[in-house]
Amino acid sequence: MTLTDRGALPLCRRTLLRLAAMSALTSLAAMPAAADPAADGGWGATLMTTAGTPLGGEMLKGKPYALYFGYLSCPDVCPTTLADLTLVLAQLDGSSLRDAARDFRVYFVSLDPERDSPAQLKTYLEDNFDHRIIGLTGSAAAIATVARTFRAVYKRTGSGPSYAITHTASTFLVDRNGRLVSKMPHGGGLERKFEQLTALMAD
Amino acid sequence: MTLRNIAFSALAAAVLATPAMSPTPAVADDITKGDIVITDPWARATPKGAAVAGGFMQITNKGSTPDALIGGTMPLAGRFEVHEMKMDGDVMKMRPVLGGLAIPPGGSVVLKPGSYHVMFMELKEPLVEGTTLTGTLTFEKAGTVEVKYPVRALAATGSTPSGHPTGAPEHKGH
Repeated sequence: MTLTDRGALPLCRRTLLRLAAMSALTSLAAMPAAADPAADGGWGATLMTTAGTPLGGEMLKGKPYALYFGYLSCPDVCPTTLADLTLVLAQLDGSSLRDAARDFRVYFVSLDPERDSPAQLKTYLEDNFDHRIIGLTGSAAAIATVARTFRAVYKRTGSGPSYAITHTASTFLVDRNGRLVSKMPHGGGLERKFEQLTALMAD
Repeated sequence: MTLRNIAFSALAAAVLATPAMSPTPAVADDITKGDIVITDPWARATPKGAAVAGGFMQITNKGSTPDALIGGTMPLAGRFEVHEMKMDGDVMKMRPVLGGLAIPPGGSVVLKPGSYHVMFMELKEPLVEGTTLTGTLTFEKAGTVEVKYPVRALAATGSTPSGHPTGAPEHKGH
């Protein structure tokens, strides 16, 4: 049966089944290969700290941590999230969880390797925010793999040198077993963030 | 001129010549240009090394014809754009507002964090809390107007209806 005008002609059952099978296969092919950190806590790829050392999720198993995807030219969500995290970490320093807080790390993964050099990322974080927030960079492929592990999405918008990157604004919380246990949504006040980090560290 | 006139003139001159004694306020005055009124313009401090900064305000169109914000300038920025931000699930989507930000007749548009804002891009230096920046805004009908933006804290979210900002430094006494 030839379909010269899809909208007008009714599809026969065989064609419908074929189309359904094709779309199922296509969507399976498009699905991420792996999601959630692996059993060993790994992210599926290794990134690099701004100190130049390699870092993967499997190296972090045993201690909880937070991870955030952003970029330095981000106008709103990234600086405000980093500022909030800085404040909450200071609050935790004054709480009964101060020892756990001292060892806690937040990993800021740059989604913008083209513009964010490790040196710039290091300076930006050290000049402005808590030193427990560590910058991570990597190849575009490695970053994509790690983002997929956390089901974080990102997309370049706009054109020219001042492009922006739309991205997941939540901070990911991973427990000491390397399991992604919760997300801290963007905004919403410090109290909630303090509660979530307390729950993560006290676990 | 009579002595009285000279005295009055001298007094008037003295009063007019007295410089403003108040420090840089954290809340700027309303700005009017034609039918457009700009209320509570402010900018947010940036981390050192930031490439972009945000400006916020309320724009009211007191006229009976539509107007639109079509551009602006800021000396310490190489580029100016108007953007809209919107949360879609846990993704913050941002897009430039093309063709100008419409300000409907008799209506207001609020530019605030997480929503519409003006973007100062290609920053030459960071925005420092407590300072005031002077830039311009251009409207399709009302034309170009100078705007002063007091710079508030990096994590400031905006001001209360009374005009007192949250997270901003107190007025310094003297």
